[in-house]
Amino acid sequence: MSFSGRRRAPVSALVAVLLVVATAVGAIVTLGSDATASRQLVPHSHPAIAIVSSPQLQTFETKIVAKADAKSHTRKPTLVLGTAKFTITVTNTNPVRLTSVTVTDRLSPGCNRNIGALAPGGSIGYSCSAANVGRNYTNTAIASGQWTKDARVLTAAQAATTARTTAKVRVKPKVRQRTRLPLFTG
Amino acid sequence: MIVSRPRNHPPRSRLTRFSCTVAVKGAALVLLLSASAAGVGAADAGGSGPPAAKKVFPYRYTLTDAKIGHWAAVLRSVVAHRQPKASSPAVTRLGVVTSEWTQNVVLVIGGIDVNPTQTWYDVRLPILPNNSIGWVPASALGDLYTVHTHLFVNRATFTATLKRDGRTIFTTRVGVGRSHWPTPAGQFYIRDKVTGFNDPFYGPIAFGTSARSAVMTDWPGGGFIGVHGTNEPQILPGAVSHGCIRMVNDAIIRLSQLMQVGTPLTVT
Repeated sequence: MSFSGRRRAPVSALVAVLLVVATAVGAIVTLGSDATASRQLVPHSHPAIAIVSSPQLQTFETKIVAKADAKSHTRKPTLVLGTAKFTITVTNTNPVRLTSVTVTDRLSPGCNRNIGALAPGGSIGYSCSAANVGRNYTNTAIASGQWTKDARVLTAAQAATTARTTAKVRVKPKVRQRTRLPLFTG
Repeated sequence: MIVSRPRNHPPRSRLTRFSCTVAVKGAALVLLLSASAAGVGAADAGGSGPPAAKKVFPYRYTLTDAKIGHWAAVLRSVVAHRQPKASSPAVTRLGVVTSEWTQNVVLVIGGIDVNPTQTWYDVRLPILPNNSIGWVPASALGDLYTVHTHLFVNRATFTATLKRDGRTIFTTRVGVGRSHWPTPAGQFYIRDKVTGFNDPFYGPIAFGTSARSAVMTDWPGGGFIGVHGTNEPQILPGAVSHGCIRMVNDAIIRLSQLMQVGTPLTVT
């Protein structure tokens, strides 16, 4: 589509609007910090560390089991909550060595790990679990690491890098029992 | 927000149908909206924007009314209190499993956020006297589930009516308790669903309710009132049971397809 001379005026208006927007956006970026200074702390634009958690969604039923009571010699039904299981993989996707690599998982403390150093391109995977899960939640694991000083990157200071992953856990209350006789009055 | 705004543009193929002037005006409008939105964001970040409506504690709310109900599983044995505080008198202790070995659930009538981190739920209790309620901490219950159905049983007309969002979707004639074993009246809920038990007396499916017989207290399991099928369809409808709500097997099968556990039950 070619613009006729008569239609050039709206384009110039667009340029003017773009300038206004750019000014407004720039104002947000620089709020509360010095944009130039913070840019020096980020040596590369691509992510330096990656973390993957699987499965993305897991669903399980709560379980009711017969538990023996040693005192009364009877078996009583007991609710057993489920255990969510995760496989987490942390990868250093940057060509520089990472140190102090850790994985923090607030909702599933069993998934916390202190990995240490991770070579360029290196990857480490592990399995972990969260017991007694009674309700739905979205698990979030955050991997963090430190850049070491490197001649190839234009930074004099160490900078931290983080990545996060989420996985959903769904719990289905067991409200039906197929084998037990009903005890209703009838 | 700024990045996502352009996604609201019509697809490119549709854009070609517009004249250039209209397209440019549209783009300018969207960009102006983006700029104003960015301005709001900047104002919020600086704390100078309009004050957001603050939640005042304690904050009370209703979770079950005539059309919609909420239920939750009991995850740990917990004491139900008269008031939403641990120091108030105990009403009963809720277990995690019913007498039928099913997950114990409660109908959640309402809630109160005592503070940003502490919530108590007002729940209907499966105890005597019937229609009892109590407060339990939200931490003892699982997630809240919504139910849109409500079962009504009329002991005078021997009918059971299931409504969804206030509209009748199922009705049938039923048998209720005899005069000396009456079906209790009041507000209850469907507590569990039992199938595959191979006892023709209860028909193919039996629902347990939170209602309990006030006279058959020594019945195994505590004398809970059920909603179930029957092997004696010829005596329905009428006051024929020990307190349970009986219906023909075809009806209980149909009801089980429409009604889920947690459904509120009103017996009049």
